[in-house]
Amino acid sequence: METNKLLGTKEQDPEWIKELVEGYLQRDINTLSDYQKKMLRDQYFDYLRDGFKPKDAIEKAFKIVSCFS
Amino acid sequence: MVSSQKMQLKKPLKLFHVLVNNNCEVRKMKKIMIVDDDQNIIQTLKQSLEYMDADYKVTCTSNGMQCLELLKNNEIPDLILLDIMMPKMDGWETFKNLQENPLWKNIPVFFLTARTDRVAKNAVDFLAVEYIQKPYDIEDLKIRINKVLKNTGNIGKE
Repeated sequence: METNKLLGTKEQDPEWIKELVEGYLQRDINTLSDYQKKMLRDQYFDYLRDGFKPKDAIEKAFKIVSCFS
Repeated sequence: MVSSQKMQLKKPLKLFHVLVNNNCEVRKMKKIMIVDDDQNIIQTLKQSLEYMDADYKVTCTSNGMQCLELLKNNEIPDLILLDIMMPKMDGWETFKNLQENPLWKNIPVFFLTARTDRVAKNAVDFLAVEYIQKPYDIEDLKIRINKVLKNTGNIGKE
């Protein structure tokens, strides 16, 4: 029964999603091209993989992408 | 006599299998994977997409774990339609797993969700190539799918 429990509801959002959105909303991403958005996403997951906290990962990813704008 | 007939049949049958197995590559079919726990949505989407375009080959899974299993078996689609709320493994976790594998991270993902809250909207805006709000318009979905597949080089390269 437990295995059929619905995951991904608003109450169960993982920390990396919540922190991603917080960091994301602090910046104006409308000026970014699709390519820059992809770069931002790739950088973000690279930093997560390297062990950074989600908030720091998005922060660092934005810094990298800003160098290419 | 029977044995020799069987022997004669072997070659054409083998050729037939090769043709069937390579069918996707020969016709440049577009492989789409739907990951959603709602069987009604899966069936409607699969039938609609395959009916609208004979070059769509749609595979369906009902949660993220099944999706990853298929990918591990080298069933790599050209595009994934991913629900967020699912049992066993949700869309967020599935997406994170896709990003952690170099072979999977460039597969375009459309999030397909009924969630309308701020976190979900902004997260999918950042993570996904497209964000499809349920209930969706199938014509609009097809246009968006074609646009993305064209940009990633899977349409019109024959």
